[in-house]
Amino acid sequence: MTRKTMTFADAIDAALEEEMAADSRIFVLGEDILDVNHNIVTKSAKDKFPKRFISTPLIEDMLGDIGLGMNLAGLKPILNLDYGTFVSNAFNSLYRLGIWRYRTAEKSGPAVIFRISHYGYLGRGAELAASFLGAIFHLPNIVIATPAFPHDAYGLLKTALQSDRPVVFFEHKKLYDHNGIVPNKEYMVPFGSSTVLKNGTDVTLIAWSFMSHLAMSAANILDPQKINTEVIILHTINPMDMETVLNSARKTKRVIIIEEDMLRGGIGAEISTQINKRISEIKVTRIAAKNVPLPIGQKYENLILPSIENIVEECRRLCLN
Amino acid sequence: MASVRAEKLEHELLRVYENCIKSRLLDEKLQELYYEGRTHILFSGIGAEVGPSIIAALLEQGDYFIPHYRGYATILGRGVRIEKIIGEKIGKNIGLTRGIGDAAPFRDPEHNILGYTINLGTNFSIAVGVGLAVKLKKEDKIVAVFFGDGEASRNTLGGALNFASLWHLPILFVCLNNGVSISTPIAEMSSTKTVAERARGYHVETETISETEISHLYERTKKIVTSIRDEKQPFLLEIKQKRFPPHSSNYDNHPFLGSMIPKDEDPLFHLETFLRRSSVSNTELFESHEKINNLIESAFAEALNEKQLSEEDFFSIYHDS
Repeated sequence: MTRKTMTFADAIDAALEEEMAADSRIFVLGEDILDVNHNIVTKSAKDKFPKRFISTPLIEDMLGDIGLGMNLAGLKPILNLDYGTFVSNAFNSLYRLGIWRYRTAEKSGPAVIFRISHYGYLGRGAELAASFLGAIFHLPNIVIATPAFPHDAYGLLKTALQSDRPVVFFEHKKLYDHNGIVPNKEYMVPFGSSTVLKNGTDVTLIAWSFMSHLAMSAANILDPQKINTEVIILHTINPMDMETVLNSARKTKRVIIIEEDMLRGGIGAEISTQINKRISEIKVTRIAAKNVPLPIGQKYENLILPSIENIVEECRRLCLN
Repeated sequence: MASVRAEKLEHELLRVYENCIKSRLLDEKLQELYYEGRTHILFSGIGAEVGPSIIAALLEQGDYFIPHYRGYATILGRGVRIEKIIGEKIGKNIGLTRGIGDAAPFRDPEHNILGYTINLGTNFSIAVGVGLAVKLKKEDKIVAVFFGDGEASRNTLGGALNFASLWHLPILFVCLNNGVSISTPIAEMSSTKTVAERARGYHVETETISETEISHLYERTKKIVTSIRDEKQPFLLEIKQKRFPPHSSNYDNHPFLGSMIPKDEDPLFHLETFLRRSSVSNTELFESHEKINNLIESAFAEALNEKQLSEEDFFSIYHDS
């Protein structure tokens, strides 16, 4: 199979362009979406389908419901939130997208996609850089795609655009320039899948989105120290590939879950419970942001968010004690 | 020519009258069931049937509706089957949302009733989404969204009027202004005397008409609908009503009947008077009433005999996905 190298941003652009060519129901809405300097990610798709990109006023609180209305009338909207924190404005409509099919007694839908790009580790502070993944995780029926590499970004967006479900497609801005190898053909990455990025026997590291890169960096530091980590990246956190997680956990008997959201009430707490319910005599710990909002500037932000050092230290503590 | 026009108006208003009667009799019967403990919460629309019935009659087959949660005149006027409404309210499988919808279950895609939410204010955004889809698909359709004066306090009304005006969306905003938000008078909720005057700030055309001015309301609505279709512009029609029943069935311990409304305050009485003054005979009106009564009785009998959703079918919808 031939392969090619592309960035995370280009992978999203390519998937979008292909799906927009294949499905005339797809339209993209968002603030400032036509500004090429501001919105670099979807440049090719925008150049090819300029009339299907709609620049909106500041209406994050309405966006999900506008998307719902578009879908009820036969379109498939992609809604852009350029700052993850704006989920706090859009939360009401995200909730409605989650509950809509239950209250209308339908088995699928609505097919609305939120592309949420997140400013973690870029020093933007609490009002622009909260991810809210933990809060979205609590909503019913919302697929949460958390790509970490160009390969996942392309394949997951293709799946999202061909599915009939509400999807939060979570893009970490630190990843946009990240290069990766992808197959030189069309492919999909299914919801509820994961990748075992590195096989190991001593401790399992579970991560998603940008945390996957911290986990791999920590694993590379630990290898020469004879701590053999297994790294699993979750392509979606809802649905979640618990089978792969549990298989790895049974093997290593030690698990560390790494997430960028606050520790309290985080996604890791759910994963930890699921593991402990099924496997006895296992050590599961969590690394997450401290339970405070993010301060402005990277210097202080780094004191709050998980780091490679945190992961290395926790692995040592688990494996050597 | 003038007499042909008068005859046509009379014929059209007779259809409106029949729909109002259907809505009122259904409303009264459902309330009886509520106080026998056989339905969920109800929001009676008794005394407020004329405006919604006129709009339902004047829009075309393919037009979209986001109805109000109060009363049944809009959806009945669009052709939704009575037994489906009753079935929904008493939890039967034939209901519009299979008897498991919540307090606002009226969705019927067959009649372009798209559904709505009682999280008030969000229907404005859904309407914008539907209107945007109509425009993008280049359809010759209108979206009618109904709301009350209480709901008009939600900030999404401003956002929706702005978006609809900016994008020239064919939306008929119908404010059913009954002057009270649950129990708070509009004077304590609104800085403007009418809701319509707020819309003019967004360059949206408006008109405020009392529900008792029957032929004026009918003729003006007809012109408004034509202008939305021709000019592809939003319009806000404010219908001044009075709410006669309590806010919901939870607020009383007996049914509210149409006979409890002082005759000269009841828009339906005004409509009946108009028809009597035309050439519609007492016998015709009586026969209409009887025919509808029989229709309602047989629909109740049919719905009561229907089955509830089985547990298996329930969980085929209510499962984690």
